[in-house]
Amino acid sequence: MAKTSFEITRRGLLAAGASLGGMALLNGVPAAFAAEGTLEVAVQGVPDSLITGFSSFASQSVMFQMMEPLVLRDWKGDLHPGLATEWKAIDPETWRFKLREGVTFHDGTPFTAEDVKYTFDYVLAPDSLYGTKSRVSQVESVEIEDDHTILIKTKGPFPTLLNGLSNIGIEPKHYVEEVGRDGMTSKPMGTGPFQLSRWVPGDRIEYTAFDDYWGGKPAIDTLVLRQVPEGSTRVASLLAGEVAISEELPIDLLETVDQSPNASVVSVESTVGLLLTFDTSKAPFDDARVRLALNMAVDKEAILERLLLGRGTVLQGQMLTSNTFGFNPDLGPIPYDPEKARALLEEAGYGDGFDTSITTRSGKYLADVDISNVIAAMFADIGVNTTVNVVEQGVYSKMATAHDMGPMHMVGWYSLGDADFATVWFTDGGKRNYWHNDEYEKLFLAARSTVDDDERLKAYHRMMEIMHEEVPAIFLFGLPTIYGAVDNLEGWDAPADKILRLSDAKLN
Amino acid sequence: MLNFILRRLATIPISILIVTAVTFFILRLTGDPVELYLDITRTPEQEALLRQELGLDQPLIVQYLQFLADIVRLDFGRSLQFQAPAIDIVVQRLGATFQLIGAALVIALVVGLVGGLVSARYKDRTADMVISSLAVAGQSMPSFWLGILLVQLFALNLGWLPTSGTGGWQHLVLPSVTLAAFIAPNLVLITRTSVLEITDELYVTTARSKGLPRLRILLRHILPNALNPIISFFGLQVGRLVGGSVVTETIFAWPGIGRLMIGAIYQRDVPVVVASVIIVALAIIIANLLVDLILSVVDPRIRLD
Repeated sequence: MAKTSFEITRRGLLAAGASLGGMALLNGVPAAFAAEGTLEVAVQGVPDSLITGFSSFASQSVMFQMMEPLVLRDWKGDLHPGLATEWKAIDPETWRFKLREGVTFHDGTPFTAEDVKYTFDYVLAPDSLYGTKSRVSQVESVEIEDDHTILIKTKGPFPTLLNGLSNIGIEPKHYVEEVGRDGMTSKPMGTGPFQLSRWVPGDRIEYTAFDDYWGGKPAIDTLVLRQVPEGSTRVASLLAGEVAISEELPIDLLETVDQSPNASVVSVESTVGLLLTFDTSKAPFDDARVRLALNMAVDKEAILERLLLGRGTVLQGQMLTSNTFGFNPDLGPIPYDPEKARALLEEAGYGDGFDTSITTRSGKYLADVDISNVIAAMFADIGVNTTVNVVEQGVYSKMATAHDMGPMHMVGWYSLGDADFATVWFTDGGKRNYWHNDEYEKLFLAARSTVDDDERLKAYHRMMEIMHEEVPAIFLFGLPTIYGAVDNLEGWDAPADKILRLSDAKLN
Repeated sequence: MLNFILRRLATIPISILIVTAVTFFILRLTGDPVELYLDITRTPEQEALLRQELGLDQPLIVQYLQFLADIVRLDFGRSLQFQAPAIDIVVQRLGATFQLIGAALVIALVVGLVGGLVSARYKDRTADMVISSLAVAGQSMPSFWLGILLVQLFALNLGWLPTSGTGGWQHLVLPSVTLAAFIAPNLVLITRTSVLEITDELYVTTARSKGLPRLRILLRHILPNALNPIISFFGLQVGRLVGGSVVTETIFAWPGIGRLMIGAIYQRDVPVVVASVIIVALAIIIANLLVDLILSVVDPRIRLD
């Protein structure tokens, strides 16, 4: 689901932010409005409903304080035992999971295999609208062997099973049966480190520590996620000491935060690769030489330094970020070379340049509109006149469905650590592709139908090579996820997947 | 008078009908809720199921008629994003916005009347210069900018007030001052002009010649006669305050209806958008009706029927 983000005309706020930045040198009155034993976090958005399974980051961040998956993903993206302690593939289509013993739900009821089966039956039901269902859609069934052992059967080999499982929070069977689905949605319950105490829609979600958490009682008593939609206000409440963590800091205020005496910027490389994708079905982008020329016309290093202030990375001539399984380390960025770009255009018969356009959203990705404008100016240097069309999310979605995004569109694909999730968007099955390549298509399916990691890696490496040669997109940046945190916060790391993990966090 | 009220009441359904039609068709024609609601990796079955559930598989005009029939029964439908009846969500958020707009109206009224009166009383002297200049400056200052400056000064530098959010009365101060700034400067200038116009009337000269105290003349003879344009202005500004609350609620993370509406528009959550638009439209219509009534009471020259 699309992120519900609303920032009043970011453009206007840049000016306002600049004044804030100038004045912030004076800041520094400590924590007048923060309470003892409480940790507050300023988030951009809280979900509008606490229904389980929404796929937005905001929702996952809220739900995984209370609920836990079988396999836990940590802040770096590594997988660890969660409600399952160990697992093993018995054959390519059957996995046995040992469940953790001595775990209870927030009401004291023990967690058993029944709950796991109940959850997956609900998620996988044909009429289910569970948002992250597709991440485990190849699961055929869950069978109970005993109270703490289950078998997961898959439809064919399912290499991303473990990663997929980390997106499904286990629900308490007895509770949902008692209060119904609406009851679960209005007061969700799980086995997680925090339990819901109060939810004020549009304002805040409050949790209290779960004393009997199997991983040990959290370091703080109360956790509050406060919805602060405006970026500069999130910065202000961090600097005022009202909140310990602020997410999604506006890039133009990073220096203000870093210069303040009580807070710092914490950023981490996310798994989103930002691309400018070509509509290769139409001239002039049906010609690979033109696509390469435009790639060479963009000075990615300069944009990274100037607009992103050095946060993030330049993509290495491929769509995957370097922290993704399947990243090809033998490839490098396509060099900035306007001379060669002009020559390539000449060769392709576009020596006099042409008119084209970029479609982008505003505020969806870090500095998206600014990046688009700078790229348009760089294209102008090789004779390509480019207009930038900024469209609102609803319009963007409609264009995407109609499969008509214009000659070029800016999009970031999340890999969530595995190439499978990102590379699918350039296959016919992903329904978002303009470029089609038979070999790429075959390799994708081959990688998806084996659990042999070496074979998968080989396939993805070759797929990245094909993309590097065919340039179906301009490979821009691995975008960072940027947080601000007060300096006396301990036990917390900025998460690559935007899901807050706060059970060990505390203020000194 | 009764006749007038009835006539005004009769126009309400027509206004509402226009509002619903515009909202409904624009939202449906510019974006597909299914696209926004379901994850990008959704299955075609999930998509078909949701379309059927929402009635999106019907022709647009059928959807609209169905939707009108529901509205008459005050059933705005179930919100996609909230998984709850739209009207409940809107009502839940209404309180916060009324609180904000109410506080802003009081602040604007006090600042506007006092500022305007002082300014008129000391016309062309220092106080008038200062107040008028501030009012003109305030009029031309973007409110979100003012909001951010207020946060900077009172929350960050002085630490007197919280930056944002809800809680005690302290939380209401900065947002309501910011929202009041949308209309207070205009109100100062209108009050000033209006009072100065009346000052030249013969009955004021008469009062002066009787030797009445200046303050008494100002409050008893001038102000009541100057109120007419001020009250009319107020009625017109209610809609502006609702618009301003969108910006103010965003800056100060205030959980009101302005932010709710924007979020719902982006999510193509038609039930919530329509429910909030209709309620806001009703509020504005009622406010204007009240203003007309107050005018007829304050100014007996106005014979409405």
